[in-house]
Amino acid sequence: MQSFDLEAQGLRVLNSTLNAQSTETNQTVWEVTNPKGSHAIAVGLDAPLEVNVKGSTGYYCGGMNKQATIHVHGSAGPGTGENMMSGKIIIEGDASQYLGATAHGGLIVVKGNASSRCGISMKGVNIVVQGNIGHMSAFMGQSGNLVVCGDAGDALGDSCYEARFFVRGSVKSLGADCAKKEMRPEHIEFLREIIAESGVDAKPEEFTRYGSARTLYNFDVDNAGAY
Amino acid sequence: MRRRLRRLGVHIETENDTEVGAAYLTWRMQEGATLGQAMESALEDLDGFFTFVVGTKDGFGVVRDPIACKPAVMAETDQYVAFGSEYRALVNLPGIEKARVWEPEPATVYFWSHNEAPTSKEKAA
Repeated sequence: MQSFDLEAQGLRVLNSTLNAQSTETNQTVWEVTNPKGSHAIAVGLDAPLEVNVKGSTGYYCGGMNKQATIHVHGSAGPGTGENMMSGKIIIEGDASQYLGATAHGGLIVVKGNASSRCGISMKGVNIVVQGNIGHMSAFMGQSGNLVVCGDAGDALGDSCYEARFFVRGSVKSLGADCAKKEMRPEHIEFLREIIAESGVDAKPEEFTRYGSARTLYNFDVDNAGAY
Repeated sequence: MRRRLRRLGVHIETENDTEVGAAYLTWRMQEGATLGQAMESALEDLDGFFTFVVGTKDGFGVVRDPIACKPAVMAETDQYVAFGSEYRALVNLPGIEKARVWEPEPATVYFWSHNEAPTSKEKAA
């Protein structure tokens, strides 16, 4: 295992070192100590690394990630996993605003709660939250899955194009053009797999599915008030 | 709001929106409101993005607008309550590793006083 003291060695050295790892590297396991809320930790990775961050992170941890698994042993700041393409981010604590914004793929797991705008404009990422999520989550979501074992805040899925939202608890309110949908066997099967992969505590049968009502796809003057 | 406050005799020096927030709270408290009540009414009377962190002689209050775009983080221990726009700003506080670190909810008034236990009251939607 490679160890890296962020306070002593600095962020640029960390990111350039991790970015320099090729897909064939044998230095696959990294530990980052003293993160202390630093911004942009482990961004732009493109190798099957395992990065364990021993503390809380600031803005944009794991942004643009490809292939790597980033494990935050603390809470994560705003924009964590933004535009992630593949790989995995696991957050032991809570996640701040706009977790996984515009992310195209991979899996993000939050063991605590996620804040507002979780999965905003998500484009294929899977996000699993053990706790609750804040308001305006999955705003303008396009593809992917948001799985919430707790409750969702106001305006879930507002103006979503597609993407699926599974909530086990209550939803404070649904956003414009987001609707409750039936749970079919393929959804139960999907939840069974992702719950097992994420290691969260929930049963597939306990969830309700929400998604796009598809009434705002084409402009209709009767819907003008909803835009 | 600036024009209304000036008409009511509140002294405002600049054209800066932040000063309007401070002037509004000052005016409400001059009218007899507590800091907590002044922050509650700010949610009704002010339209815009704001996060107020207000200290008085014996209290400390925080309120965010209902959209809550502006970042805010709180840290709480037996010894102190701290506010920052991000966790990075709080990392050098004593005992931060064991502090309860959380984000204030939108449209919710939080108030701490040296004389009373912490309170928070969510506005009815």
